[in-house]
Amino acid sequence: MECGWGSKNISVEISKLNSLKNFTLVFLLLFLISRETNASNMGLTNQIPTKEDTLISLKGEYLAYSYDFNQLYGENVEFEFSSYSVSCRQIKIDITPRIFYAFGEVILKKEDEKLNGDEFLFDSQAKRGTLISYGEKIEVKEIDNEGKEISLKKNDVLTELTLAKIQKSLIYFAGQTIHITTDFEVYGYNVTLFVEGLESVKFKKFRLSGGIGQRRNGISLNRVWYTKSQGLIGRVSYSYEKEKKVNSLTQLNYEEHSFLKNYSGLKRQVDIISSTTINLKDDLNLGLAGNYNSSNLWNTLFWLNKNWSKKISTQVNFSYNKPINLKGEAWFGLQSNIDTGKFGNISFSGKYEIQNQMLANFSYGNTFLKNINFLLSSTYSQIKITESSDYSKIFSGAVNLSYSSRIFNVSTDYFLNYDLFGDQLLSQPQLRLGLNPFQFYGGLISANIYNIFIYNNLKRGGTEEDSYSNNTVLTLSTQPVFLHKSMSLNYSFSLEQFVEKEGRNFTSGGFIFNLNKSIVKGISLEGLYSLQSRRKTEDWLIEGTTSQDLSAVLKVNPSERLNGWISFSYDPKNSQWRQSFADISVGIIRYWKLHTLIHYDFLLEKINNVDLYLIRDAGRFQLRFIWRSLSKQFLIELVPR
Amino acid sequence: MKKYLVVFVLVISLVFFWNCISFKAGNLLPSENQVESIHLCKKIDDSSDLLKPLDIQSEFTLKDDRVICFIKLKDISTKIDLKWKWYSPDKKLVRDTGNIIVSKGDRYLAAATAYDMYKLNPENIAEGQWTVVIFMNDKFIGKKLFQILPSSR
Repeated sequence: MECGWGSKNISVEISKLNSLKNFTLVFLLLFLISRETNASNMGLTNQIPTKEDTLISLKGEYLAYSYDFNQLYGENVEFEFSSYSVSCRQIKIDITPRIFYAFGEVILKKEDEKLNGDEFLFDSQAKRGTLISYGEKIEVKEIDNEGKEISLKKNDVLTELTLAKIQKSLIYFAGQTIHITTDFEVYGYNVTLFVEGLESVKFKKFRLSGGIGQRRNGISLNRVWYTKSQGLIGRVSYSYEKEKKVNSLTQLNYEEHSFLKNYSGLKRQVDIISSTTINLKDDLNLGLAGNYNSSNLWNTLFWLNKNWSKKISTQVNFSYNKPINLKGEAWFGLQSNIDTGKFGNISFSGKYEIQNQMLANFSYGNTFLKNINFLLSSTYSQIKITESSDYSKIFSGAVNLSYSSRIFNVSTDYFLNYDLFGDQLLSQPQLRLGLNPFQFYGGLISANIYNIFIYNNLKRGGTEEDSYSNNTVLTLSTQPVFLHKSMSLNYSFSLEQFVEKEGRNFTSGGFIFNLNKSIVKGISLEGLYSLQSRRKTEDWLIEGTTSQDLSAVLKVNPSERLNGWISFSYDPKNSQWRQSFADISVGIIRYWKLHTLIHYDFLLEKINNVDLYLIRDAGRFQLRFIWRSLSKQFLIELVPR
Repeated sequence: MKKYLVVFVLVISLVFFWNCISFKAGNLLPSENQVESIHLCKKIDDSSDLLKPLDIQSEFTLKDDRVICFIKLKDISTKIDLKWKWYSPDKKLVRDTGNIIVSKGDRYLAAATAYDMYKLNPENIAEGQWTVVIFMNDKFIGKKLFQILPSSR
């Protein structure tokens, strides 16, 4: 066996150690925190997780948590697992996918029992794990695992999780004590905050991440803010949850505008939004929802759901809706869904209102012989016309039958709309026929053709009107043909014929040539020429338009740090340059990049718009500083990813 | 008005942060000798001071004549030995490099690269999932899994 070792295999680079502290970054961070407190619950807190709330409590010589990636790295760490005390040289935790991985001199101790291993992959919630040792053979020992295998491949995911990655985060914390709660919130004690790698302030206790965002029972003040244009705004919510039994949330929004000088709307406004669901049994639940607005607009909804089986469900509901300055409406409703398996799905619903308004809906759908789909639906509505004793009565129905095969597809539709009040009947049959895209010349050319025919019949009073239209579309396209090793060409052609009863017929067609040329690695040029023509044919008159476009796109992607494109557009018919666009992204330092979008108009001979972005990719979110020349705006955005 | 608003915000911020923040930063430092990356590859680029892995992958066939396990370390200031252990799909040890000195600890190294190579012999190589494990100073620091597939693929 050959060994790949030698002195040349080891090489060395001496670097300079830089340390620069920028106090202004502290304020940037405080800004971020204040933004994030609202957005994703990161922030200062005085709540200390109780022992019952703690999933895992880590104590180590060095622990680092990245807010960007929601990942944790630790050295010489101790923690409790099940009934064992565990120590290890290193630990990696990826909180989002719930991967816990301890390695290097792993020791599990319990009373007289002591287990040693090289790796320990564990599930902190289920309290089970796998201890692995690498000696003369790989030895695997399951800890409280009862045969449920934890994939050994899982820890391969964590090879990307390194201290270097965490230290490159926009925001990370380092300390010696970190708790992760059962809600997967991360709490740090005496942690030091690092912004863009620079050491800044130290927190005695800090909630480092938002976890899974579970609401706790009780009243909470969600937001209070003031702006010159909106006035004073406050949001309060009350939440109550009893596991698998009751779930209730009520929100109150208050807006005070009375002290604003030029505000034309209401002086103040209150909104109350409430929703409660109660599970009476596994297959029976009821709910109550209500909304109230201080402008005297309110509505409420009560519903009762019953699942008779996995395939049959029924809902009974009652709602009352009070619009502004109009009489309230009280509706009683019933709806049901029945899945009959091979006999199809049936659903129906009906609602009745005490002023004799009603709505009804029925639908049936099924698939026959694998390829034939059938859908039937019909609705009936009887709605009172505002401030009148009359009712609008409309019956509509639709039937669709479609068949698709390997070669072609065909679909027929029949739509009927009968306005009983206005005495109008519209019936509209349609037929769609198409060949599935097919290829010839060994896959070089692909063709597609389809036709749509629509017929309309409208009966109104004693009159009857007919109309029809037919549209046929043919497209042909080629796969890229390599003219040279670094140059390819492809071509597409389309032709459309539209015919209708009124004679506004037209024919349109066009083709596009697309040429790609690779210049050097990472730089390519794409040329595109298109000609489109549309001709209207009516008796002896033929009129129409033709347009041409010639454009070129230079794509630049020589490295991960630089990529972009510049396009130019030219009108050969009028021998005129039209416009140019550029989209360029350059990596600057660490995870910062500069991105610019530029639009130049050759007709106006000026730069129409420039958008400049300074972007920091930070794992779970992106921080953007944006300048837009068109609106002369400077924006700062925090965008979750 | 703006002046009062700024003062108000500062006072509120101070009250809010007083118990939570101290501006005296700690002296926490991670240990030295950090693993920056471990890769499996087919070739090594030795044209510069630091080696680079080429053709990084986790699946190999019997047509490939070797599998290389590459490691990059950083912040090295103590004596370092590295050891590679290769395990076949039946979890048996098939190669142990023993301890190889990477750094004597006599000077600080910002980065160091090293690799071990396992030759694939088509006559006695087993298809399936293989494991290679790396130890630093006899302590486990990382592993990689890879597949040996039939050469027809």
